[in-house]
This record gives sequence, structure tokens and C-alpha cells, in this order.
Amino acid sequence: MKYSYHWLKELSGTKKSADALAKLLMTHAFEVEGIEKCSLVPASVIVGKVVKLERHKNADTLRVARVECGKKDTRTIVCGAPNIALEQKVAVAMPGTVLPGGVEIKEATIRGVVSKGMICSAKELGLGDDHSGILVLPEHTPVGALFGKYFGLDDSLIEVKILPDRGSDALSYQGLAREIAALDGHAPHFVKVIPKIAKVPSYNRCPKIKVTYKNGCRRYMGMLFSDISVGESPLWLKIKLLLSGLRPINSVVDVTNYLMLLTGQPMHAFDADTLHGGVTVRPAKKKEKLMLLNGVTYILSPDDMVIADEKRALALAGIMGGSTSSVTEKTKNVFLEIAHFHGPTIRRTRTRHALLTDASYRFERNLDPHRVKEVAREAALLMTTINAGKMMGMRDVYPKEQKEWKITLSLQRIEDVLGEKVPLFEAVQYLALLGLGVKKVSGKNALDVTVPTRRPDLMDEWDLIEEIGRMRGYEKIKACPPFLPLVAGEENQSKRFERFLKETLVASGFDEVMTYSFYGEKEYSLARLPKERHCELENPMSPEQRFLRLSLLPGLLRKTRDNLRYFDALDCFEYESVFSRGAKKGSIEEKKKLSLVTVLPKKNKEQSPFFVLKGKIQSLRALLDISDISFVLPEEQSEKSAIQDMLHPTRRALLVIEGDVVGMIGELHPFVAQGFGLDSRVAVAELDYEKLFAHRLKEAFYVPLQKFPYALRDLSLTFPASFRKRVTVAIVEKFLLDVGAPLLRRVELFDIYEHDDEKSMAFHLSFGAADRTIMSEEMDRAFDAIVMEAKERFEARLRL
Amino acid sequence: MLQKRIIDIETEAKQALTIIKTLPQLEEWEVTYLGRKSALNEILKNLKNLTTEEKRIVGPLGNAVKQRLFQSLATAREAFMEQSIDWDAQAIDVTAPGVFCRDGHLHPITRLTYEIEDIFSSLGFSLADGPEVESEWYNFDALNVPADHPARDMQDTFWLASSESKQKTRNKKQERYLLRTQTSAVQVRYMETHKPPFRIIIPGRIFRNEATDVSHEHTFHQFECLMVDEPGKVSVATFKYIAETFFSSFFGKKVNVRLRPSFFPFTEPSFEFDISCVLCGASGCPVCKQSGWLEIGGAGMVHQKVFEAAGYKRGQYQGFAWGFGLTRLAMMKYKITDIRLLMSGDLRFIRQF
Repeated sequence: MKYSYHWLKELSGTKKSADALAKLLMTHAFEVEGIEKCSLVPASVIVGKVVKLERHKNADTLRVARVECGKKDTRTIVCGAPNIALEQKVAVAMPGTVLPGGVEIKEATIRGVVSKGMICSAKELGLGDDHSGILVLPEHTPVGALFGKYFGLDDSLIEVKILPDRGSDALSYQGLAREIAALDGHAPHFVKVIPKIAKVPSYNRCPKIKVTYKNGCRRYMGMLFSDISVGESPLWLKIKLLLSGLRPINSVVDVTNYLMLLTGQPMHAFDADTLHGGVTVRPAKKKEKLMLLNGVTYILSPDDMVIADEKRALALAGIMGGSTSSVTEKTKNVFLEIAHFHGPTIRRTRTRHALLTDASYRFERNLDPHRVKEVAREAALLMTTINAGKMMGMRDVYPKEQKEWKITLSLQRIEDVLGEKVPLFEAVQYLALLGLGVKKVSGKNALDVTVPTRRPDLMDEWDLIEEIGRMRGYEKIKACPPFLPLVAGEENQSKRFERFLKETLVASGFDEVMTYSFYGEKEYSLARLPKERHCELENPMSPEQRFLRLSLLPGLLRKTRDNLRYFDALDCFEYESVFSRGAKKGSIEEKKKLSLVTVLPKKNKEQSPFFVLKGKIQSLRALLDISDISFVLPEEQSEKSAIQDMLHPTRRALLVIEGDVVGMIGELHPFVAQGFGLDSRVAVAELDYEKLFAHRLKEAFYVPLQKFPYALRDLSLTFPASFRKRVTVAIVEKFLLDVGAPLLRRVELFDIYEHDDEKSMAFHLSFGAADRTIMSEEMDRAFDAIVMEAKERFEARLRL
Repeated sequence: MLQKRIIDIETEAKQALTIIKTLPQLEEWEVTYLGRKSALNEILKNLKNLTTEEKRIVGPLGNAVKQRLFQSLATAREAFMEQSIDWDAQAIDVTAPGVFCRDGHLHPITRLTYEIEDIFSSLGFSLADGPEVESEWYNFDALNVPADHPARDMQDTFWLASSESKQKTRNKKQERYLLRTQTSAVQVRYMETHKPPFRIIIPGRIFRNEATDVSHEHTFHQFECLMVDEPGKVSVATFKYIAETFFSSFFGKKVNVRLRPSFFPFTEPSFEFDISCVLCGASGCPVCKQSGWLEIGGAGMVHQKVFEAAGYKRGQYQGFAWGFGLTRLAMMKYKITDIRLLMSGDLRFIRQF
């Protein structure tokens, strides 16, 4: 909220400059978001006095005035206003003045008379809508004074951020002034001038008030004023509203707005002649319609609270008045409402109907029910003076009075929380300055603190300690190391593994990329991901970010395409959470995934992206101490991976560790690649982090080194067409080790190719024993056995 | 006598060495002067026949000369080897590019996270973690931000569609899911399974429903620090100390912390905290807008209601919690001017780190 410095100064009695005040608030109370200088009226508008007035010779409607604007400055001004009169004090815009509306005043000859300036109306000065005549200033206004300065229109606006805890008291001039005075070390000035209680006539004509929405309305006060004159507000009031950013409307509405700014208490004025019978605060009826002041008709529900008469709803309680009962220039009698509405109830309604108003903003911060009466006094005073109304009656429905409450504050607690001793007298002083009642508990090192109802944020010892801490100044607290037993932090193994994983990937050439956690329909359909497993946002930024990602790959593929504008090849990864609907309704599974993308350079035609990425994963496995990963065709596993359909149907494999599927690798399905604007050089993999972590080797054990040399021999097998599809490297390797046992220790594929429908594989075989050097005859026997068995099982023949 | 003889041998040998032109000549020289049958060797072999006094002089001298001659031989041999190779023919252009070996890069946020984790680990803090899709309870209610409270407006929240919500909850209402708006959401989760004393840090990704521009992102990273113990052991003064220690270590220079009053529903007292500007040393510069201070984050003493939500007894424990934007710190540290670069996935950006 932006506060006028002048007004704050007047209410608090501070002597500090605006800048010093801002600094004081920043250090001890609230964040100040800025100070701006503000001049509502230019400095070249001067207070003048009409000393001579004549008819204009050439125009019936115009008059020629001599206006005294200073000791040596009496000038001629042509004026058309009907209300101009001798001896009047007026606002004169000197030639060269640019008025708030943008009009520049120039010396001009009007029908033969030279006019040196202009006598302004309220509208021309931006001080209201009145353009029926010139603005007439109070008699005692000094001639020659700068208009803006004299009337307090040159001001500094201090923007203070009032957070929700203090919304109940500090969203008002009185509240902030009280705070400033406390920080200055004295009582605020405004409490010294409390208006007398308005006299309620014995005939009390105020409509009867009934509250049936008991949870929503704690207190409801109504006052009836008759014979009101609705017109322009006095200058001082308009100025206060304008400086606070509110437009003057009419003298009744202006009074309610002024009091809301001053006290923080919103109120509402009804045209009493539109009311039928008594006033009820009740839940709205189902589908009840109500047209509000903004001209919009709202359809309400019983959760909403309305102010109603015997016939219909009149206003949406605490939020906005209705159009039919509003105060206009024609209004004669006014029913004024000052109430306490329940914050959450107001908040729910204003959220439901998207109606954030100055009133609802304050009510939802739970105002002080006690304050209602204080405000009523001020209101009665202003309604009877400014609006010349007559007080016809008042009613106050307040079934359960809010009492002050007590908190016992131990001095030890203050020291425990702040880390420093605060002397008793200091603590007492700070609390007392804030207007709290403080008494020492006899025989104990504690204080009994009584909290007034305007501070609902002070509920326990810690709340009071905050008040003491900030009043005293947090800069006084000295940093102090803790005295603690020396214990090592609990090690987070998973986080450590995650870091090792990322650092290892980076060392092997991968760049880490971060992308958004959501995408749109386009991504999941392009990536052929199942729609039904996606979780959806209620309020996405845009439809393109409506679904929580099921896989990291769509995001990574988009970024890959972008990056390929600048790079020919790349390896990148993302490690983040993915989300999916769980099996149980309403359950959401969140998992960390590691996704990898490899793009081969355009000129690299001989390598297959699948094998390049596979090789990287295999070396990663070794670095990470993960037991052997096997690459299994998805057809051989019952478990289906979410990204399965994204991959090339005959160039994809599940990653399996000890029978557990940990992820999937493959080249992109050509349709997917095309959809993302990529070509065939891309291979991707997505791994489940938790599973990788679970399969990491926790301990390493030494295996004795081979003492006796291995005997080496190469084997090249050709499989006929009938076996071509069935025989994979994995199958043959397993076959070799089974048949060659125990002497065959290692096999290593060094060549694989297909020709004339046949398939050939060539291996380096290592034979050996742990306890001796084997003889060549032994190796020959083992080798022959392998060849025999290969012929038997796969109809394979030995290539020489 | 023998002394002179030894010195003469050395002089003669060195003389002979200067006129040697080929490697075979050098080998011949070695046999002559250092071989088994060389004069010097003969002298050393016969040491045992000398008197103790002579031994004491001749022995060290003979050995020293022998060492020196070996040294000269090595130098001479190296010179011959050197001459025998045509170095120019083997020359390469060392400024030509090296064999390509792709280097990878961590994301700056990750890099920064690790740096911060290391500092806190050295102070005995552990790492904790929590989900990004969080229940309304842990993100708000348990942190003393009840439904229908204006404090909910302090953070714009992404809610999951109501069809995704859990049916039953502790307050018998439908519990909604959201994308966590703060790493503080992990606080109560952690406290439910741990008993004080503890000190933890929680780095992580968080979400705010805000339009993006140069300085706003709906997805960014935060860092939470939580230290809880019995009353009297962890105070505002402790927080100040830990914060100053951390930032001084992070920036490699003495950093002061300034606390200003603020409000967070889950702490009481609550602070905004600033650090002395690390660029100008608090004397005022454009980065700190001439104030000498940089706004870093929020902090406070954990609200007793948060402890109660975790099942602790009111007043039994006390601690501080603080959080700051990792993203903001990264931008400050690496002088990144557009926040959107962080989530852009642009490798031209990533490869700078």
C-alpha cells in the first residue's frame, strides 16, 4: 500500500523525513518498496484573491477580474465561471502551467482583453469532477502561497509492503502511524483526538439487524442518517483520497473510503430509501442473482454471504455493494454498515467470483471486531458534519465480544530464541510502546502481556519475541557459533551416487541439460507416449504445458533439435523427475530418471548410433560399479517400458540387471524422429535412477590375479540362413562359455557380418587354468568340442 | 705421489675426451680410462695395500675422479646421440589441433549445488530430498498456511487437476496435489522420520505459476537449510553465524549478514536476509543499487505449529530454517543476465560452465 508521508506524519507525530522514515520501517518493521515524490498540482498554481470584478465589454458571459497573486502581482484574468465573486480566494494557474489534464495555460487575448493566467475549477486541478464553477478556497488561505504546497499536494508516497500477518492492523494510516510512533518511542498523535460518541436518539429509526450467517459475521453495526446532502467532498478530504490513489466520487462514498484508509475498516453506505424492512446478514440462496456496483450480475451459492432486506439481496457482504441500493446524488437517507466479516468466508467468495476489492482484501485478513465501534464514532462525526446528516439511530449486533488475551512470556525464552539476553526493562518498554499491556509476574522471570484485539498476529511467546527482536533491532544480535557435539552428518548415499553418476557422465563427454517438467499434447503424441498415464495440471501456464512429463525424452529431443542448428553431433543427458498416474486412483508416481541422447556426426556413416550409445552405457556401468547389464529384446520380457513405442521396433533393447529391467535403449522410431525434426543419427536411452542405485556394487572384493598364462585361439563360425535370425551374439557367447567350461575363460567378439543370408561371427578365445599352464592338447580337445557342439546345435560350420 | 698420479690421470682423460670425434672412439676412451684395467682402477684396487693415512686421502679422491669421469662420459655420449638424429625431419606443428575428445559440462545449477553441498557437509549438515509433486498438506497446511489464508497468495501455485487428487486425508477432505512452491515442503516430511538434533540442507526444483521473462521463471531452484535442537542450542545468533560462515566460504571473503523483519507463516520470528555486497565490499555499486547489500532470501525460527504438524511437542524444540534461490545465486555468481537461459537446454550456454 502507498502511504502519504504528510498524513502519516500528522497521525504519528514523527519528525523524521520521508527517507529516514522509510529506513526506520525497513530496519524494524516492514519492507519499503519505494518512495516517490508526488505533486498533484504544478508549483505554478498560486493562491490569489479577487480584488476587482467587472463585466467583459465584448462578452456577456465573461467577466474580467483583477486578482492579487502576491505583494507586487495583481493581474487581469478573464473568467467565465458563474460563481466568481469579489474577495474570493482562488487558485490561479500562471501562464506556462501545464494542468493535470495536459492543458497548457498561456497568456491570451480574449475578445480584446489580455488575460494573464486562469482561475481554475476543481476539475481543472484534477481535484474532482466539479466543473460548474471555479474552486473557491477557504477565506484564511494566504495570498501568494503555492497552492500545492499549502494544501499538502506535494508529498512523498511511501510504498510499504504489508504482509498477511499485519493486514489486520497495518493496512491503515492509523495502524502504520501507531507503528511509527512506537519506533520513535512515543504514543501516536491521533489517539489524543478521539471524537465523542454520537448521540443516538431515543426513537432509534435504524432498521432492525439480524445475523443468520453466524460463522461469517461476527459483528454488524448499522447507523441511519437522514437529510443527507450528497455533493462534493471538502478539499482536504479529496486530497487525502487522491494522494492514496482513490478518485473522489461523492461526499458519502468519499467518507467511507477515507475512513477505510484511516482505520483499515471497510464500510458500506446504502440508500436507506431503497431498503424494505430490516437488514439481514444471511447465506445467499442457491443460484440467487445479484447485480453489483460493477454492473455484473453474479449467481451466488449458500457459501456466499449477502446483506439483504426483506425482499432481496442488497450487497455481497464484505466485497461489493449492489447496484440498486447504492448511494447517488439523489440519496436523502443513508444506512451505513460497519461490520466484522470472517476472513476465510470472504476469501472463498472473492476467489470464487474473482472479485478482489479493497474491502475484501482487508476483510480476508481478519480485522479487529473491537475497532468497529471506534470507527462508528468517526463515521457519525463525518456524516453529520460533511454530509449534514441527522443521526436517526444505531444498532450493534455483537453476540460474542472479542476480549483481549494474555500471554505469559518468560525471559529465558527470549534469550533462547534470540541468542542474547534482553534486559527486562527493555523488553517491557518495547511491548508497551506497541500498546500492549505488560506486567511482571511476581516471583518469576516472566511477563504477563495483554494483547489488544487489533493484533491477532500476536498469539504466543514467539510472536512477542519477534516484536521485541525487531523493535530492538536484529543488527544488535551477534553471530554466535553453536556448541554442539562433533558428529558427522548422516551420509545420503543416493545423493552421493547421483553426483558420481553426473560427474562420470560429464567426464565421458555428456552435457547436462535441464528442461521443464511439463509439456503439451503435441509432445506426448509425437513421442507416442500413452496419454492415459499422464498427470494433468489444473492451471497450466498454457495448453502447451498442461501435462507432467512421463519421460524426459520429449523435452530432450526438442532441445536436441534446437542444438543441432549449432552443433553437428552431441551427447547430452537430463536427470530429473518424471510423473505418472499410479495404479490406485489418485496416486501419483514420481521417479527420478536418467535420460541420454547421442547424435552422431553427419559424416560418421560407418557407426550405428545404437552401438555408440550402448558402448557409452557399458563403460558407464563399469565406472559406476554396477554389475553386468544385459541388453534384452523387449519381446522377451513381460514388462513394458513407457518409451517402448518411441523406439525403432527392431533397434531397441531393454536394459536388464540381474533380471530387473532398469531402462531402455534404442534408436528413435522413424516416425518419432521425423516428428521431432531429427534424422537417423540419434539414439536415446532412459534409465530408472532408483534401480541403478539399488544395483550398484556396495563392496569390492579382490580376486587373485591369474598366475599362469592363457592360451589364445580364434574361432570363426558361420551360421546358415535358417539360424540367422535366432542366433544373437549373446546366445553364442553364452553357448561358448557353457560348452568350453572349465578351460575356456574368456570370449571376445571381434568380427560379425552377414552375407548370402548367412551370418558369421569371429571370437578370440582364451583358455587357461588357475593352477597350471594348460597343454596344447587340452586346448585342442576343448576347441574341437565347441566346434562339434556348434555344428550340432546351430548347424554352424567352422570358417578357416 | 699417488694423489698427483690420480690428478694427472683426470687431466689426461679430459684432454683425450676433447679430441674424440666418433662413438667408437668414445667407447675406446671408456676402456682406457674407466675400464677394469685402467690406471685409475688399478690404483683403487690396490688401496688395501696402503697405510691407513694414505687410504684416507687416496680413496675418496680416486672415487671422486672416477665419478667425474663417468659424468663426462655420459655428457659426451648424450651429445653424440643428439647429433645422430635429424630432429628437423621429425618436426610437427604443435599449434595444430589436438585429437578430438569431447568434454561434457555440468549444468551451472548442478555445479553450484555441489559447491554449496560441500560447504554445508563440512559443517556437518546432511542432504535431504522430497518429491516435486507434493500434497497440499506438506506444502501449505503443515507449514502453517491453512486453506483460505491470504498467505497462500504469497506464492502462485500450479495445482494438479482435481481428478488427480487423493480422496481421503487427515482432515477428511479431498487432498489436492500441487507442484511444490518451496523446498520447505520437505521440512515436515523429514521431521516425521527424524528426531532432533539434526541439521539438513534440501536443494531442489520448485515451481511458481508466473509468466516468464528476463528475470522470472516458473521453474527454478531453491536451497533450504534446517537446523533443529533443544531450546537454547539453536537461536537467531546461531543462524547468523551459520549464514555468515556459509557465505564467507562460498564467496571466499568475509561476508556480513543483515536481518530485516518479515513474515513467513512457517517461521516466527521471520526475516529477510541480506548479505554485504561481495562486489563492492558494501561500499555501494550498481549491482547492489548503491545500498551495499544484496537481498538473498528468507529465514526464521521454525514456527512451533510446524513442529506440532510433525508430531513434536510445542516448545520442546527450536531451530532455524532458511531458504534462498539457487537460481538467483547462480545468476549472481556467473553474471547470467537472462534467467531463461538456465532452462533453455542451449548447449552454447551449458558448455561455458
